[in-house]
Amino acid sequence: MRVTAQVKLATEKAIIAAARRHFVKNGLEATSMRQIAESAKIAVGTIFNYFSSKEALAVAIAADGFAAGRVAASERLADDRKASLEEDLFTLLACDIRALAEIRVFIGEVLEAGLSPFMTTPISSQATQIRGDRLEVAASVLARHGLGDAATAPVMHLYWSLYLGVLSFWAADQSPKQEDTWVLLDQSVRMFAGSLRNKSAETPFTREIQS
Amino acid sequence: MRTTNASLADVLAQLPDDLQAGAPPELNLADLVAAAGQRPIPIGRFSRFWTLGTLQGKIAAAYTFWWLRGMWRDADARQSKLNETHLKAAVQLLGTMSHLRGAVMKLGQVLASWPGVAPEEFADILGRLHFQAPPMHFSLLREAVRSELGKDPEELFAEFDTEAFAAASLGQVHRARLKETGELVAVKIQYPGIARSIRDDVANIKALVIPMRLGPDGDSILRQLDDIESMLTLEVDYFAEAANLRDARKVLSGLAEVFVPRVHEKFSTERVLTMDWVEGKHLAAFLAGNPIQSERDRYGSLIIRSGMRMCYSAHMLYSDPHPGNYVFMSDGRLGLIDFGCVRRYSPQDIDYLTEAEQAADISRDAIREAVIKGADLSPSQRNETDRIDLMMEWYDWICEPVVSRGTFDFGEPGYFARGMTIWRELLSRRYVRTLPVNTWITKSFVGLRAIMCRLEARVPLGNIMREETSVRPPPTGSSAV
Repeated sequence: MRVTAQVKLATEKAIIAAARRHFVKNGLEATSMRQIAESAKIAVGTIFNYFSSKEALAVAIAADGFAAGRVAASERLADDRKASLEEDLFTLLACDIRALAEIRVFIGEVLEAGLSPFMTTPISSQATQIRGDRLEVAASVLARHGLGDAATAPVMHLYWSLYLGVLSFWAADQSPKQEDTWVLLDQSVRMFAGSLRNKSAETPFTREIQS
Repeated sequence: MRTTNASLADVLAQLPDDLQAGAPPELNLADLVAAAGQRPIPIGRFSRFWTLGTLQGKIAAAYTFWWLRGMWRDADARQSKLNETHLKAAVQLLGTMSHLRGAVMKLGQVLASWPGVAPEEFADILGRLHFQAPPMHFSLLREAVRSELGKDPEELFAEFDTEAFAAASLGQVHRARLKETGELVAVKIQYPGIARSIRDDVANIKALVIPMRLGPDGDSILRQLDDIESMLTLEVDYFAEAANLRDARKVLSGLAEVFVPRVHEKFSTERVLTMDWVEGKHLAAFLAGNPIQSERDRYGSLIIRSGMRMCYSAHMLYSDPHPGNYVFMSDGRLGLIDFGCVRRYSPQDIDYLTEAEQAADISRDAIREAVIKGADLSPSQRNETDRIDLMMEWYDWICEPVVSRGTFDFGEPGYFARGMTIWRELLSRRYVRTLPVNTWITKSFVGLRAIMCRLEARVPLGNIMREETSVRPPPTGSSAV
């Protein structure tokens, strides 16, 4: 029997919905592919037709949140209010944090398994897309503030480390209402923006990288 | 990127090498503050945000440590060295604390706003300490509001100014308009995490101060620190401030010319406080309009009477009569804002204050006894004639407008300066031993007198006091303003 595109889409949605429920309830590690398959009423092997691993499945779930965060950030950046570089960078991360709030319980595992800067091979095209989107919008923010030239590969790598650091902190933040995350984010973007403003071309860090 | 140590070196460099014998301490302080003010502040460096980075933090820290150092000026060399070691350890530890917009800054403000430590020439700098804390940008503020009220400010209010109207060390105030009624409101929002930071940092500071052996008055200093800690804890709790606003509004309802904003409960939490907007001018702007004498006098009387009404009828001390807390409203009323620093008198406070107040009408011996009690002197210190005489001079200065039967002219230039001379003398001799409640009373009394002085108001303070005490006698005692 040929599987139509419609059926494929429905199956993929069912897998994602089932996995999401399990991940939110028990986390990534404590959830097995068998449990997801049972909840989605499909065979375990079928899942692998759609997702190469449990981690790739988790990234796919998170991708929706990341996409929503990107849309929200674009809307915020488009408003007329003239914001500082620090505020715009803050907005980028704040929008993602909001959009990912429902899956905070397993976002740390997603970051580790799918978006870590230590990874040499991307876990999925979605992981590549998430990272690429973040760096693209961050570069556009730098350009908007006259720092387009500063968006070199090493600087963007630094930004990505900062991004993941803040999100990782948030994932494990035990402070009331995760207030410490906002403090960390505020101070981190100030640090990052400040380091760029302090004449990136003259800092030892940039000289080393450029040579 | 600069290291934490470099930043600590900056802070240490702010501290005077020595409080030279014979040199008035305020001169050292002047140099200190001037140096801190002139030093360029690199922006955006990592260390600037994670250590004693901001100018405000530096000044506050410098004040704090300067104050602590003075405690062992007369100690022997070995003890001084030991204390210095503890102090350096304290600075090192403070350097590792997360954000010094918190405890040290607040503690520094409290210490620095003690008159004498902060004579008039520092008033501007201290004013900036209060109002020039780096503001939260709107994106951060939006998250802070959402965390507390569940929605974005744009969703909650019909209008919300993205620029802060006023910034303070703990947060900032924004103007907004209510959806339901169209009324303007002031929304005060606290910087995330600052309350916990203050609690933690004060606990750390206390832990470091305890082993310093601050001399015979160390026990009193620690009690004062405890009291400062509890007041700071209240100051970061906007529920407590809302309760103060409600109580003050109730107790001042009989004064038609005084306005205390309502609290809008629906938009208020422990970290967000929404109140009526109070339209008008602050003191500097009011004075810039060159008001006629009768207006100065009228406002001066209102400031005094409202303070006394709170004191005598509700046992509330408006402990921080900062010029920014009074609004000269366009309709002629006096607006009172910012009830974060209100000290509630305990029954023991009331007993002590009643005795101190009545002493003026009894005898010099009674005043002497009241002063000894207020200073919490040890048996051996009760024989220190110089100390007690000086404190009685201070008492007399405080009471001068009270015992005056007619109108007291606060604009008379000698009066305020005379008080500051006595206070500086008290501090230079390290007569800092006192009951904790006196920290706030002094802050309040001197703050009020400073405002009256700037207003050049002529106020029948003694008469107002007699009216307030006779109209509304308190159930268990009374207290002077």
